[in-house]
Amino acid sequence: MTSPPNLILEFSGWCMIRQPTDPDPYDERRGVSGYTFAFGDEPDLNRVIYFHESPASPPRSHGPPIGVWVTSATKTTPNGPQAIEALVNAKFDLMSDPMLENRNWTLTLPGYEPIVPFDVGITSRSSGSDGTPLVSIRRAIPLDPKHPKLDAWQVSEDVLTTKGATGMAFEPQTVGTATGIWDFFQAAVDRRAALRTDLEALERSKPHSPMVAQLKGRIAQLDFAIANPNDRRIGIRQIIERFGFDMLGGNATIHDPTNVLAGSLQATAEADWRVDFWMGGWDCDALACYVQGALQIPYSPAA
Amino acid sequence: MTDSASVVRPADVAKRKRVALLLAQAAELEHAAMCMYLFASSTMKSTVAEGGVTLVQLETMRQWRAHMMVVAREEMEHLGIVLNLLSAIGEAPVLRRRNFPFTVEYGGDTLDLSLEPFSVRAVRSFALLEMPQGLPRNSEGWRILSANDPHFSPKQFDLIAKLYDEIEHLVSTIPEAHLFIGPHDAQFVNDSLMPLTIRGISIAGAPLYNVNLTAITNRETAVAAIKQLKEEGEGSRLEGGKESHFGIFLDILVALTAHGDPAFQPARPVVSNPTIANTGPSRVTHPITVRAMALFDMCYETLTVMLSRYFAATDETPDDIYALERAAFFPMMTTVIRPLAECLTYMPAFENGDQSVLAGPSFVLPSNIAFLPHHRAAFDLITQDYTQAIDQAHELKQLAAKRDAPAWLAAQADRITQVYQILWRSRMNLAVNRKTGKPAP
Repeated sequence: MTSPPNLILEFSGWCMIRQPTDPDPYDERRGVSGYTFAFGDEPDLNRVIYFHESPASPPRSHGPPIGVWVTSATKTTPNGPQAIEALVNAKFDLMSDPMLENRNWTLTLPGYEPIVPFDVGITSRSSGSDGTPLVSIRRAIPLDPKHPKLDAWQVSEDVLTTKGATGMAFEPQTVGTATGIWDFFQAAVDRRAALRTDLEALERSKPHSPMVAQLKGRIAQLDFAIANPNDRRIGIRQIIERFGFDMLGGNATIHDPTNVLAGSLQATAEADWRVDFWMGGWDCDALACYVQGALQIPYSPAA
Repeated sequence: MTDSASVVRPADVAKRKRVALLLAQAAELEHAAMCMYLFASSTMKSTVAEGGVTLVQLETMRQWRAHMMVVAREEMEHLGIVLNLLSAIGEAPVLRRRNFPFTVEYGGDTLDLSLEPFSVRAVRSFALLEMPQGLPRNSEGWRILSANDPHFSPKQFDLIAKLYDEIEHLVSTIPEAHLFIGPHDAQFVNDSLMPLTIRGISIAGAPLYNVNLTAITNRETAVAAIKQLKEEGEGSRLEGGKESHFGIFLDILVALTAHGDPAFQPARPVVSNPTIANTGPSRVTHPITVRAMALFDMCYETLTVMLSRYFAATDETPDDIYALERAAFFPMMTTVIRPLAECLTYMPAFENGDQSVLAGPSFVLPSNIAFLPHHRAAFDLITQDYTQAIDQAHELKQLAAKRDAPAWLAAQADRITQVYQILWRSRMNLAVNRKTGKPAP
């Protein structure tokens, strides 16, 4: 007996989350009493998760490179695994302004929040000069397939947690292995040194630049973190949240004009896709978070 | 036959009554201080578009505001400690409070308490409220607080420290067996608050967001709790220690008076002691703002009623307690009270719509607010209050979404909608959590 064929896409990379943090209210725009902030003339905190750079979420200086990419694409077949090179380095994205829906412990307890909406888009490199990708895959699933029109605040906690994370876990080794960052305190010290150097230069050359306020704000938070190494600003970098759920409901859209996949992906609302990933290593100075996981899509080889 | 050990001396009965009375006074003071800090904090500007602030000043102000929020949370903690002390001696929680402005009296001294927007005057009054007892004349604190006030006489501001001194003295002299007669499981301590878990490390018993509540079961733990109250804030003898409330306000005051920018205006022009409950110069009359203030007052009253049941914990089941906790702390305090308080400071106070005089949160409580003694009726009444607040929020949300809504109201539409959603959800959570209880860790 063999498993049904699947296309398995592994993905990883740093994303940005422009969200306020407890005990600020979840719709706080600039950040006050939590540990994340919109500094200077940066856009407001909007809670959105950005898997890739966006004008609405400018990356912060000296932060990690933002972008979540497919690291491997494999078809499982009765004859063994087959790599699909065309999908390696494809852009793996969450679309439609996804947010972690916890709302200060009101919808779920912290660590158990789902990402809403969950709208996955994968776009490979283009085939030619017209920019058309070789392959594109997209599927948005409802939070509650039985009541797809309900918003997160109307959905029961039981349903929310089926797509939510499974709690916070202290796993510095998982974060270290994935990101190469093992000394989280030193990372904060190094970041502050880099920002101080930038600030000194900026105050000499452009003392009235809005960036001065940004840098001063970031440095003040790093000062606090370094003076209080048990504070969340350091501790949270060693925490991850794991997600894993079946993606049901909502048709998928697949474009594969040159038959790169040599078969078809199941795309109906009943097609049982599976996604498992973790998010963590939260660098609250850069508003960046590491993501790593895999998406399985049932696949039918070409006849 | 009488067991002599169980006979309480009349003098101790009188002392015990005095402790209960003073703790009730302390509860009112801590509760009031929290409201005053939250009020001032809610008036602080957050964008340069509001005028009178630069980006760099906003960053400094954010740090001031963050510190003030920490102090406000510690005042909530102090209120919790006082309520635990009341519970430890068998008394009911005291969450009633006179409405602002009002005067506190103790030992011949008086303190005037009022809701004031963020300003030099307000921060100075906060520092005085938190001032250590017997502030030395040669101290930095004296120098800063006496600036421009040749008649500076801090003696009256020792009131809170003296109040706690008397409580500590009485607690130390009444026989323990006659004083600590309350049920231990009616108190709320770090371990019983908020089920935050992280796999791989133990955070059991750790304070959450600066709120550190420990069990009070005897003289030793009671005295330790009183010392915590004194050292973190009001009665501290630490001369402006950086972590004391006094030190925090002193630092802000120094920075606020030394910025040297005549154009700097850190607060919105909010009226002092706004209210819709009384007549007088602070009475808010703009019809839309009145609706928003009524919603705030309803939510604040509901929160207070829930906390009364929570801290009394008479015949609540563990599931009831969990449901109250999940309803009162984060949703109501963080995602209803604070956002609504901030919304109000963008709304005109008076009927003429003049936006140079804005409203703010009243923190008004009805004079008859009290612990609701009957279990089922209490939860029914809390649910009714939620329903009324939801209806009020829905009406306000509709007004804010209208095409012809004033710009200041339309600008708050998203936050009002969020408040509506949270209230709706919290009412549902209260019912569900009473049935399902706290999840297993």
